Amino acid sequence: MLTAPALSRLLLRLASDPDRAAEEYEALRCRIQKLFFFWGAAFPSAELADRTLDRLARKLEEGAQVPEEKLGAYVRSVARMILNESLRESDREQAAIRVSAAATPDHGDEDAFRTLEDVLRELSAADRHVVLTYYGGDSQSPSTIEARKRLAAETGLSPAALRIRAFRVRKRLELRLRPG
Amino acid sequence: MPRPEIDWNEAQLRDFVLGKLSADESERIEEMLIESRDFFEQVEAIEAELFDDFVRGALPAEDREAFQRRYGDEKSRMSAAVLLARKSERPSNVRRFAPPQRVLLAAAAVVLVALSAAVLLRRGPTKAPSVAQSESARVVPQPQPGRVITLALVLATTRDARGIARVSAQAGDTIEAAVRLNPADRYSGYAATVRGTDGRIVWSGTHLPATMANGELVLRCAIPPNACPPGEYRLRISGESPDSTSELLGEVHFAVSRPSPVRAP
Repeated sequence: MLTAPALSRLLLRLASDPDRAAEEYEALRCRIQKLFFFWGAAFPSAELADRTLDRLARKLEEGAQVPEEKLGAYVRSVARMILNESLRESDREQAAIRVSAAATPDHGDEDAFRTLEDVLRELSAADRHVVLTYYGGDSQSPSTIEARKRLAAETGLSPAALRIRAFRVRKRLELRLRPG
Repeated sequence: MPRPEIDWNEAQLRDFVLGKLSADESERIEEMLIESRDFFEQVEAIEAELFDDFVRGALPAEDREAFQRRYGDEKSRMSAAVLLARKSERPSNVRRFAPPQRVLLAAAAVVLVALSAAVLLRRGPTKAPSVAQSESARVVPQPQPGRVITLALVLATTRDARGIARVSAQAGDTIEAAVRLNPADRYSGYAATVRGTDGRIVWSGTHLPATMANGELVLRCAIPPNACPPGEYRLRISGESPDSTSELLGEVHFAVSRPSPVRAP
């Protein structure tokens, strides 16, 4: 079980400022969760990410010496350990297996499309233009590549920064479009 | 956390997201994902683009299968990608900040104004809208009523290299900028500012109403006489929300000149 001192030590390792440490903790949790997703973990990735952070905090409290430049590798190895444990649990409990859908995605109903239109209107004009232009075509087509170059010039952003800006607006859209 | 030292190119990151890299390469990228929030966000952004490529049928067969294996359950994200793909295929009434057709519309407005310098002439004084005075606003008392010259404009965000809207107005004339807005940009009121080339505000107005006429949403800004002496100006329009926030909708450049004196034969 995770103790308060162990959690405090982990937070301090992430950042000296408590508010910043909490934010870093959450951001790290998201990244660990993504690792489990990429690994095709059978258990919910959020739960596995929590287990990983608990284990990491305990190890640090027990005195594990992890240089700053090795922290990523160390966290990953802890996560792999948690994954292997979860797979053994899964074998024992015969947990559900992820099944990937082979069907082509449906084309979205009109209500969902209207919701998208409504959500787009709530964006600032600049954000709306960025997200509609950046994601206006498939990423490898010459016309999309050209449109993104023009957009980068318009906004004064580098291509990498533009990608991140467009993605952040898209994440807000996806959150609003999520059912429930 | 330390910044990752290895630069992975986009193709490699796409392959990573699709699960096509070797175990060693994947392990290095996974460590970087843990170490760097920026790098993580970059990978997530590439992941989003793969959703788009998948729903648009732009992935090669092998990548398509890899994508389905990994993301087939992600219904919510898939649905969002489908909707965005449909959006890009449909003409929309959601206004873009600087869509290509707006440049064409701005050019059409230039031609329209060039062909008919004064679209409407009316006698009598025009009541100016409420004006938010700034230190740089110029207010000149009028000794006698002048004409009202209407200038038809369409918002854009970039100055059309082919020219700007031009109006010929005498001293004492009111310039009524009739700005065509996107019908989707309906607000309870609008704010407008006119700046000279030196950036100083020469006129501004708030809580201005727009009206629908012939299917077009038009905002009329009555710029008082002599607020815009001959020169170039930038008119900027924002939509005003009930919570006192405003959203910049766009701007348009125009130039004011004096009519040439009529020479005696």
